[in-house]
Amino acid sequence: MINLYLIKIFSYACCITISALGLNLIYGYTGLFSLGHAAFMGMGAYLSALITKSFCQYGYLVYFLAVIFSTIFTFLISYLIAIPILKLKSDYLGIATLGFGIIVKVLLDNSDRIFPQMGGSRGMLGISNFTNLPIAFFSLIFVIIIMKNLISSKFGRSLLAIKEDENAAYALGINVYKQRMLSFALGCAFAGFSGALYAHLYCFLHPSNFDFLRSIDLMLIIVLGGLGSMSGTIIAAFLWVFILEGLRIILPQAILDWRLVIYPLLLILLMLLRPQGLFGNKEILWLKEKI
Amino acid sequence: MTYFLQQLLNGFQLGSVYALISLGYTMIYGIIRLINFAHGDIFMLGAYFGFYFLTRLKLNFLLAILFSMILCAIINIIIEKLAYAPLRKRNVPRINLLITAIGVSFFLENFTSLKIIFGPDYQPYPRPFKIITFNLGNLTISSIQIIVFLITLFLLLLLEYIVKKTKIGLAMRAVAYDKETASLMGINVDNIISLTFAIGAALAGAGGVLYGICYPQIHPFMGVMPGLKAFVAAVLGGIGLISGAVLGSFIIGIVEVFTAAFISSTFRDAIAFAILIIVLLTRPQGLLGKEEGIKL
Amino acid sequence: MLLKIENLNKSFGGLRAVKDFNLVIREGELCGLIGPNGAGKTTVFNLITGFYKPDSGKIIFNNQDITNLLPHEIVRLGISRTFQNIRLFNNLTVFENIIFAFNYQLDYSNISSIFRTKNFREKERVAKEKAYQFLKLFDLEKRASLLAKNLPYGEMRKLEIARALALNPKLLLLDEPSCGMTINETLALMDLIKFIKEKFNLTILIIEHQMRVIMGLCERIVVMDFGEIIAEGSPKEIQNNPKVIAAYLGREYAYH
Repeated sequence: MINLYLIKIFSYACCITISALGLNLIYGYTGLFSLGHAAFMGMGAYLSALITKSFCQYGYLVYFLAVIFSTIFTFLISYLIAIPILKLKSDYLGIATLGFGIIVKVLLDNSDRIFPQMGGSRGMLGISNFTNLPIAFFSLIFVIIIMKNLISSKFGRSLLAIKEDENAAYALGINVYKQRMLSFALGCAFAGFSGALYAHLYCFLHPSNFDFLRSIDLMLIIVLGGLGSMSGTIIAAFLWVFILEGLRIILPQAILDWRLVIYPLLLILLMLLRPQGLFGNKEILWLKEKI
Repeated sequence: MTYFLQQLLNGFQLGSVYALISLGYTMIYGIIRLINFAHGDIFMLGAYFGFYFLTRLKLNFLLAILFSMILCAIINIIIEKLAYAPLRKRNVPRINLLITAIGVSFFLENFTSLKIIFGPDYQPYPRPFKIITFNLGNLTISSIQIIVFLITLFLLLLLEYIVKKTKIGLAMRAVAYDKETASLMGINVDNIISLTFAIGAALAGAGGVLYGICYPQIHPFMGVMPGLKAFVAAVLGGIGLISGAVLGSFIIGIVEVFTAAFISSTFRDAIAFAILIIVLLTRPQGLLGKEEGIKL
Repeated sequence: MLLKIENLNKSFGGLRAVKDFNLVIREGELCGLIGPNGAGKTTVFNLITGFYKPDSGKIIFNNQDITNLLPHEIVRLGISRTFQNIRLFNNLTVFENIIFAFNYQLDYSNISSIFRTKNFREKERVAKEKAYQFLKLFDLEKRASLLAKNLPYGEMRKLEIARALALNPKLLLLDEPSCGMTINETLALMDLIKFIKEKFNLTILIIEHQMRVIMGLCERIVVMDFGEIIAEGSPKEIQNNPKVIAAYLGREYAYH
């Protein structure tokens, strides 16, 4: 029993890590303050679930196609949204993405008016459990490789330049606007991908899984790991999932609620004691070779 | 027509409460560029303090508000000194301050939910004065609305007076404009920042009590949505501007009530953010804000 | 004729920063742009490089109208610049600053980055080689892994110029490169500018305050005041021009 539980948690951690890596690309690397990341997870999750539920007779094949399709769809939608939104300055971008996230949640809450299978605020049930540990894990490895290869190339350099000094980046011939859009859309696509995996892991979706509190959780993870550090993001994501779950296990029933009081206190303490996060902006092991 | 005016009144009522929260957001952002996510939870604390003053201590209504305001101010000063000031001193990037504010927010919400504190359930709120309704033609105005307007108006005028006509207010404006130069002029920037936190909290606390009286159910997470909307209102009006926060709050309050009344109550939350996005895309500095230029 | 500016105008609110500005720069020239502070010199640079949009007028580079192009497009056409207050990537290393400049010239797709194709690996290797060679040329290769912000001031300037050159420009705009330098550093800078003009076959437009640099380097000088050109000519002509003397009120003569 315990083994099954651990496997599920580990797979969940892989999904969260994929999403967090996406946000790390958007904010840690490119400096775009996005507070609506979980909304894109939700898009990927619900869309893929709709597809697999509608074509459940085709088994794993439809699952793979659904995941790929949802990821591409999320990429396109986020690219479109980026066109007007990325013109905003940092804080305003954060507010706009926050607002976008809330709008998506409200839409999901009311989704059953158009697509009754989506369940609206009652949640979507009966999704098949296609995501297992190997799939979750290798998806994570896959994402890590893609991101690492992109970052140690001219794409990653242009993002670093843009984050350091936008005007100098322009003066180096970098199309700042386009690179930002690409980075944003790519990061959101990863979120959509992780959402699609997640939907078929726990087999139940609810709009509150993708509200702005979840977006904030993702933001916390990448800051705690160290902005711009992939290794930091990965380790922070796993720690975050396992510590929160761990607290749920080790705390006696009577003071279980204190879990949610201890967690923010730890957060504040970490901010005071180690503001640059676990890794700062360094990488470890194979991820090290930067440019 | 009467229905329309009736909803307009309701909108003003909601807008008043939002204004009291929104001012704290805008002042704190104006002075240290922090989106204080924990502000909505100060609002929540104000409501709870008011509850205890009204029910346990059976205090007079105005005294309950006053003491709530004072308690909230003190708590916010403590939070500022413990959590934000140390980070500010060390020149950490702004995102860390934001995360700390989020941490404070989560802490306040979950701590308040603990059964030994206030408990997670909805708490019904007392109505500490007689509810009289007046009829203006077909319009019904309740004494609650009048009292909310009057108290809000009083607090707004008080704030306006402090900011525009006192030396402290001048110091606040100076620090918001340029912290370093203000400190070179002999202003104790840290104290001014603490004062701003205190004033913002006091207003939010008053808003909390008023909210409890108008919509008589409070619970530990009640500050989340109103907090967000009040922040949207501040951005809508022009972040950092007091007049902007007030204008934005009334607009958001009225639009929200109208959406619930004329379209559908399920979209009342989304509409505020839809407006936000439209404003940000067309006029990001807000309705009353000035455009910022970039020097190359 | 490499660069032609016709009737350029730019106002900021009520302030006319650039007024009826006309300039022709021939290929291979080393032209100086001088004038008191606030005369509008950097604004002209910003207009040429696309950071500001002119209110009216035209800018033609290499027979192409670049007036309304975006900064990065203009860079790719062959104009690069340095900034008055040095805009290096401070938290990145010297090497990184240079190799970032090679970015737009690398023509592999993002897909090849992901799959690490042969094309990608070859182009990256060549770019890194070129970057090292570049650093060697400017005597900076020993500083390669130093963070840009930790360089001594004179070398920061050198790095910024090197970076601008890595962009393979035909026209180089230098904005007060000797700003903050000692006499010796300034003389070294002048040698550097002469050297790069030769080596890279450049046309250079330089904004400067130090008369030593202007008189020593430039073949032609344009003088601005209050957004307008008040004089144009050889160093000798400019030195004796009464309007120029009036504009400077003799201040700059102290540098002679």
